[in-house]
Amino acid sequence: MAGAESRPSQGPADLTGLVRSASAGDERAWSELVGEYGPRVFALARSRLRDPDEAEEVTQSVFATIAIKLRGGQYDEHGRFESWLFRIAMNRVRDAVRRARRERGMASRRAAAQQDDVPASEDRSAPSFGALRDAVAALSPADRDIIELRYHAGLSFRQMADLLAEPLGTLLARHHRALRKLQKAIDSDADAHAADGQVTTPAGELQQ
Amino acid sequence: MNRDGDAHHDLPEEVRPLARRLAAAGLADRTAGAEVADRVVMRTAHLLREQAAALPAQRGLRRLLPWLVAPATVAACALLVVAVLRPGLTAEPEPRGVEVLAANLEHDLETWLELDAEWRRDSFENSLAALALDAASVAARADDPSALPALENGS
Repeated sequence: MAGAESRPSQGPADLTGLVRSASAGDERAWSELVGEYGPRVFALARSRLRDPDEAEEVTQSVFATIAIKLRGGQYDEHGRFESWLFRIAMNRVRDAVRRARRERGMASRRAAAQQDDVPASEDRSAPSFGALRDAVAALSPADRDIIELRYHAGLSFRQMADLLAEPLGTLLARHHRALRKLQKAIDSDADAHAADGQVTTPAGELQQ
Repeated sequence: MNRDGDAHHDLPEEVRPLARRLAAAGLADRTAGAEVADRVVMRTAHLLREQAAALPAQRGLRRLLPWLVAPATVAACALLVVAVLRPGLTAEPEPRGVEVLAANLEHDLETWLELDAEWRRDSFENSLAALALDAASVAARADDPSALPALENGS
């Protein structure tokens, strides 16, 4: 189960044909494209923005842009649809983060982050990942990109190398370092909680 | 060496649980994103429908374009042919034109010869000298504002 869940998505078998059909107005092709990449874009936005409603807005904005550009024949990244899509997604997420910071202020965001940030109505069955999200949020932007593109957007390292225009070896090394930093941050947090009488799992979640 | 399909095999043992936890968090977000994707499809499909509706018109225009351009092309070719083949547009002058030119040149030559002949006459040179003196006198009086009325009267 762990292997299947953690394996990056391979994408549709005939992505080029799908994009071509969607550009021609084939709604079934469009539905398939959004069905494949929509959840991944949402997961990326959700990880960064924390608010599911904002994440949905960003996701819709991304695919509206994609649809308009396909409509207008402005897609010319032949064979690199995924890089193009996630480049747009990352830019939209960054814009949304900047906008949120301006509107709310960093202090109110810290206060919001300390609360339960996964609404019960949305995520009743899944375990809370609040502490893990906090630790990821504390990473540097470059490290955070790697973690979120890898585990939320489901990109392979090769896809990330193409998207970020960085060597594959650099990304692999950065990924390893990011995990170690995360682990260290979680361990420090666990020590702090232990001092307060609370217990955390090795992966950083508080045990009830 | 990490391969794209193997997320955790090459990771150090101490971070593998963390990697699995991150993967689980990502999967939870993507699962929630499935419903979002359905809504996004409903809200964005019309953007492609507008393009699909516009396409036949664009295709029609593209098919029409050669037919619009062709007559202009044909006309341009015809003009070129006519310009090349039409008699009279050669570098050689018409015979009548040469006659007229020769006549003009002959007239000018005669005029110059007459003038030249005039120079041989003393009276011609004297007349020219008198005219020059008169012109200088008029110029000098023109500089004198009090002389203007006399000049205007022709004196």
